[in-house]
Amino acid sequence: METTAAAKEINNRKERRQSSTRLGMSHSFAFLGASFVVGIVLQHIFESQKLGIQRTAVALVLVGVVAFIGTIAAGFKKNWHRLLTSNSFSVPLLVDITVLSVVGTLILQKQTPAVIADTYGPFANPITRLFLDDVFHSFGFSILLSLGAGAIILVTLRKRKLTGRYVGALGAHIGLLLILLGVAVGNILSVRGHLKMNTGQTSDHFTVTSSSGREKPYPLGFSVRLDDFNLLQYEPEYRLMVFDVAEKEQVRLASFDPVDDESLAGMREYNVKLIDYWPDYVVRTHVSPLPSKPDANVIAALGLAPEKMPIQWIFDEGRPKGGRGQIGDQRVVFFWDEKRAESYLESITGTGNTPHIIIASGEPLNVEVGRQYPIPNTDHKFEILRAFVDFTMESQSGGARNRSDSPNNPAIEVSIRDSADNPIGNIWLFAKFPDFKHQSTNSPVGKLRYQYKGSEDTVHANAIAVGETGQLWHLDRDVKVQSKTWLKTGGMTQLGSKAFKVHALHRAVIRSSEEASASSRADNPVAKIWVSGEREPRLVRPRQPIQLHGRNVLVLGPKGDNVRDYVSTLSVLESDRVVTTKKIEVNYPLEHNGFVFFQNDYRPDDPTFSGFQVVKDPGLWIVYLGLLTNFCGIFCVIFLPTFLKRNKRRIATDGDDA
Amino acid sequence: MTSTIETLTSISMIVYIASALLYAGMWKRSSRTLRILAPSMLTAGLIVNLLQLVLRWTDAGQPPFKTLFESLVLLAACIGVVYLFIEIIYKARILGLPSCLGCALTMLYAMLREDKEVVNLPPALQSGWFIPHVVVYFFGYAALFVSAGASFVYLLRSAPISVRRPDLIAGGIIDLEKLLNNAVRFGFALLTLGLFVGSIWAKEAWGDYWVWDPKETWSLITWLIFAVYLHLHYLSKWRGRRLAMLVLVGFGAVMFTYLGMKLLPTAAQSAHVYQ
Repeated sequence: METTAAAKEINNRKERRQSSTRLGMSHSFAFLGASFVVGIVLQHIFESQKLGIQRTAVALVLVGVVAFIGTIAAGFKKNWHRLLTSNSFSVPLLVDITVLSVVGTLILQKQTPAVIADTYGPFANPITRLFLDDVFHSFGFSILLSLGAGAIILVTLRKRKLTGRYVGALGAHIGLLLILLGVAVGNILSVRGHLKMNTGQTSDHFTVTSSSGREKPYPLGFSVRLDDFNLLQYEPEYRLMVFDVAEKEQVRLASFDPVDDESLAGMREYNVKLIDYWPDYVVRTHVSPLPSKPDANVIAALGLAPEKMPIQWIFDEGRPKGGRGQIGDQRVVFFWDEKRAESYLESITGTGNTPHIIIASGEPLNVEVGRQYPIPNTDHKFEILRAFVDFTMESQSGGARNRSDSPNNPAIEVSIRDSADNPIGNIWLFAKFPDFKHQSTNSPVGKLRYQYKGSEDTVHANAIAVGETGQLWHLDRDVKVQSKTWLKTGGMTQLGSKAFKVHALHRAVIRSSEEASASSRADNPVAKIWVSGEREPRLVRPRQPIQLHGRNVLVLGPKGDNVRDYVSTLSVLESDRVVTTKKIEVNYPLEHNGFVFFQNDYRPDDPTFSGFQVVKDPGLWIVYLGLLTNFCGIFCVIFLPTFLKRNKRRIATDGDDA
Repeated sequence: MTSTIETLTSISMIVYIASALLYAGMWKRSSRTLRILAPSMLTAGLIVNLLQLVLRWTDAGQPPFKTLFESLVLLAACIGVVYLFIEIIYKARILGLPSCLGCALTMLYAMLREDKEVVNLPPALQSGWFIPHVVVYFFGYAALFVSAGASFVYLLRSAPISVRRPDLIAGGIIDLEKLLNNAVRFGFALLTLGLFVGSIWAKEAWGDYWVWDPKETWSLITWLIFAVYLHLHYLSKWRGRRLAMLVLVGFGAVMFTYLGMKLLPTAAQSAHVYQ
């Protein structure tokens, strides 16, 4: 009977406890929800004061401190103390932080209002009003963390029996407090910015973004000099990749190693076969001289040997534009007949033609609106759509128009088409901004530049021709001036930035060409493929996709990111004296006087440029201490009780033995 | 070498499936042969799995943890190691079937991946922290996988399992809940260490120990869910089915953290997303 009564009493107490727990948890959820709302309201008030980013961060921390102190103060009341130090509070708090964290990964964070409005439509307003687009830096989130910190303090100060598990939990909680403290200190006192330098430059400051969004200098108290910068790259490797090109996205279906036969076997599935692959594609021309036949339409050949380059053969087959070659960035045109050369140069630089010149792969072409022209060395062409002498954009409609008849900003619109005459895209080229690159020079557009003959820039062309007495002449001409220089066999002649000498001249030759690889490095990878159903094989080059059947596209592209490392050598100077020099790379920063320089940025087209993130964070060591304490505490919670129990058992057993 | 790795993936998957079948057979009948063969087959699969990792490491000249394929191979090995550890410590083979199935399914997914080729390590991953961060996390994932397996078995058969079967359980009765709890605690400790190491590494690489990157945030979410578990288990004395369900929720978060980042619009620019 007594046992039954005692058991009933235990059950009743358990039910009362559970009932109070249930009540406590719902109260906690309500309290935490209200705290979050208070945070939102406070943030709206602060933001309406336009305090700026730095002061808002201070306000964020202050609000957190107030919430923290409020929690401690509430703990002096018995009921609140019981709630705040129980699972009835900790579990709802952890759940709320978890839910807000999930929200923070589902909703775009720290985006402009325009992006939020565009992405979320009618939901954008509630999202921004609740600060869910920057939830981790919101006052509501800060208040929840501060309530948690206050509750942890109250739990820590409770008198409990010192068991292994309790000591571990204490350590884990203190660790969390230290982390939050370190974050708060960092939020107020830390400085972050960037430093962009070129080699040889010295700087005594870095750039931080002010509260108004403007960049301003922040003094270091010492100077840093970028002594050297190296961009290290992996050996380039290319893959043939098949993509499914849907309307909005591309999905890679397969990737094949062009030098691995086993890998290539899978290409059959996409009705394409690899015929050959050259990592450093070059077409080698071979010539065999023939006895001259003056009346026959023979091929004349000129062999040029540019500095440190293989011999280049240029052939004149009697066409109006002669035979074409390239030395450096200069197009070279060869004519057996000097008169034809002069006529050609006149056609390019003369005044009777259209004012629009497109330099396509180095060769100047007079172009007219409405006509199509091939892009040399590619299987693409371009069509001239429009030409304006004074290009401008309409501010409202964003459309292009001709502002006046004066050639203040000549521009021409071209449409690029592939070998099947399908339009790839339209682009504007500007005479006064020839280096304005829309795409890389490897793309068809990159090979086009525009010159306007009516502007101050002159159109220039040059040719090599055989004179009446058999001498070889270099003819150089622009609109106003023509020069003629005799080319001596064996002597070097300058053409642009390169020099060359004449290797050989033949009146008649048989020529053959051979596709080969100049080296084993993937400097100019080309693959020859055959798509089933087509009559001729095709060449695939990087950034020139080939249409396969259906929505599939074949691309020759790099296997992955080629950058192996980027290393800066930075010297620290105090009073013009070098105090330290260090090589900085990602994962290996430089620290001096509290400032830490992290290797952060580089520019592929500027080998002297290096970018650093500069951080001074006095709260960092507190965060690290907190992380360590937290981990040690958790380790103790998990493993210490088992260890102590085993030791106790062993001691007891040893005692028995004794 | 890629074809060798593919072959080893297939072999280890087949061996894991065979070991799963053997562990399944142990539920049907008691047999000394099965008692020896099942863990031996699992060990064989594990050896092939570890051989894959070693060969990949030597071929690539870098730790094989960059691509999703490589991480799946690592995960399968970690699950195998954690389960074998449990089998040796607790002398219980009751979780052999779900663990071996987990290894096999992980290998199957790896086989279906297109990213089997070695990919160059970007500068940010060339750090001494890369190996400990990944290994700690994957052993944590493996421990939580085993705990999820235990939860699943528990939900199917929640009464104390008192099968007088020395081949499944030594000593007759096993407290599956205790086994589950121990696995969760071990996994949670490793998740904590992984967060710790990751924060230090992020600071050294990028200058910030925490940037609310989606992967970082979901690692924290996973940690918070298991922190809730520990609070409810130790302080509110939660037991039984609801605790097992919470473990499954937590494991869902683990899997989303591992595989689900691509689904998040906020993770488009994240360095943690597998390509």
